Amino acid sequence: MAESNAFTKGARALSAVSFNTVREAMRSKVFGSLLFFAILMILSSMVLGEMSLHNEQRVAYDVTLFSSTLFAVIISVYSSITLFYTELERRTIYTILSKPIPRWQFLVGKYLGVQMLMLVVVIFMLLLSIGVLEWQGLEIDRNLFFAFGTLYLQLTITTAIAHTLATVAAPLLAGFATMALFVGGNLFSQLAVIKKLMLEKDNPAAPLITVIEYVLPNLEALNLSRELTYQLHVPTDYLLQALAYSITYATIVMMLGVMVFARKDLS
Amino acid sequence: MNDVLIEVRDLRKTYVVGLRRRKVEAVKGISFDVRRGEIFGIVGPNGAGKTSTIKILTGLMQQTSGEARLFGHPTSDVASRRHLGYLPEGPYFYEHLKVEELLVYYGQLHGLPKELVRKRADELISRVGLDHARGRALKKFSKGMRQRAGLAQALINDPELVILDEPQSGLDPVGRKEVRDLIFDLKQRGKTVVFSSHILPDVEAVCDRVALFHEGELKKLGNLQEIMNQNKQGVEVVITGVDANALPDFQDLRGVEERTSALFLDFAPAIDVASVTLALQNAGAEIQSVTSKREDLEQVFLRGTGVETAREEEE
Repeated sequence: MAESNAFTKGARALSAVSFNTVREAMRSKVFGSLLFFAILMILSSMVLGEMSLHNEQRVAYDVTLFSSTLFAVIISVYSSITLFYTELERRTIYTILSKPIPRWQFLVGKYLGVQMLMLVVVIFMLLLSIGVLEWQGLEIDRNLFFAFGTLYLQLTITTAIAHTLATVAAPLLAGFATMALFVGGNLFSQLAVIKKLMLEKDNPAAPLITVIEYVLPNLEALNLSRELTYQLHVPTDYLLQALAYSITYATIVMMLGVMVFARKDLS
Repeated sequence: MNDVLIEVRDLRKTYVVGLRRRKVEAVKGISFDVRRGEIFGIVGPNGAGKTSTIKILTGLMQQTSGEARLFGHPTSDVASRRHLGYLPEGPYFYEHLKVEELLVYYGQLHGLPKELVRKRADELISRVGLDHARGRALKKFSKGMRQRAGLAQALINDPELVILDEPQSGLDPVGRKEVRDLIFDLKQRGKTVVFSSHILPDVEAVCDRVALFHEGELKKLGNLQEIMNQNKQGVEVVITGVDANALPDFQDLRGVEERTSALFLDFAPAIDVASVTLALQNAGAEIQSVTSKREDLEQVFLRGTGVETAREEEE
């Protein structure tokens, strides 16, 4: 009974932090501006499609997915870092962590809040993309839904990295580092080429590439732009593996963040 | 029920600052207790270690060594904060929220059900005098209003122990009085209050016991009256009915002042009051009052921090 009471109290606290994070983000002017530009870019696919040479479908898919990815990542990184950093800078965190809420609940609550926000953003962008495609009389390939689904899985990882870096670094550095990791994570095939070349030349730094391959999140594997463009089949077991990989990676990264945050002096 | 709510034993906190990793000892082995039902004041100049100590007690920082317990739990344990209310210095809150939303949020952080929290929030908003600002976002609150919102959030869980860090900072005299009244009200409701302040007259007016911090050390600790009586400055006897020339010879009489047909006699602290008053009465004087003059808290503070001693040495 006591255990379920403690669980209920913990769940209330966690959800309170999450919902407050969503509320704070949605009332932010920067969030509104970023979303506005995302909408503009998605709508621009209509104009760009007209300028292409009978490649309207491909251009539409590429532009809508690229715009959605770009702005979703920016919104997620910005929200993760500023919402956390603002708590420290304005010292609102003092009145929170002096309550009986463990630090891990606070950090996880902030993370879940951003993830809830990004779910709404991604769904909104998907619906807008569908609207744009339908308006142009183009086919809605089911891979579009998978592509946005795996985009959300990429954000699961990116948001976790942003939160963990926010506990150790200043916001600008944490933001740049997260974006750099996002870009690096989308260049796995290039990394494989570099590794192959280094092995051929017996470069002693080749093992380092192997370490990077394990540590860096393989976001390229969660990017279905090629499958969407060329309407390739996406197997069900791939989707399950993608889900498992994202959750596992995000969990490990968040655990690191929790360990660091637990020791942080709020002076 | 344990009467000691806060136990601090040989508490130390060292910061490592700068690129050279210089060590700064902010709290140097302090020990004190806070008992249930009292108002406990923490005073000291800037950099004395007050806020560092309070942050350790509220779980915002970890001590370098030593023990700190709230309600018998180490301060690193979340359980130590279940019955705690805390108002930090110069509090900021989520500017996008209204005061009721803020209180509901904080209440939920305590794991309280929403209906109970809403009811308490309603009562607290009235109690701290923010009824008129219910519909206003916190970003439009004045400093005094933020302070009151802060006090309300500190009380949302109906805590047994309330820690207030400079609660009157930046408030006008009316605001300060309201905070004082609130502290007295908390005591009457059986709460224990710990508050730190630079405003010594307010500490003097409110506290039962005081801890004086200076340069990370606890210089004085005890009942406020005892601390202020430790350096009795003298005894003042006010008489009428006799001229200054007709006064008996007293060895410990330091000065005589005539004011509005009464004589104010300033005696050294160690006089035998009974024999002095008898001698004055025998000389035909009418005793109007006998008052023990003592240091106020500011003088105790300055003496405890060495400022008064340094000044006396210069003179």
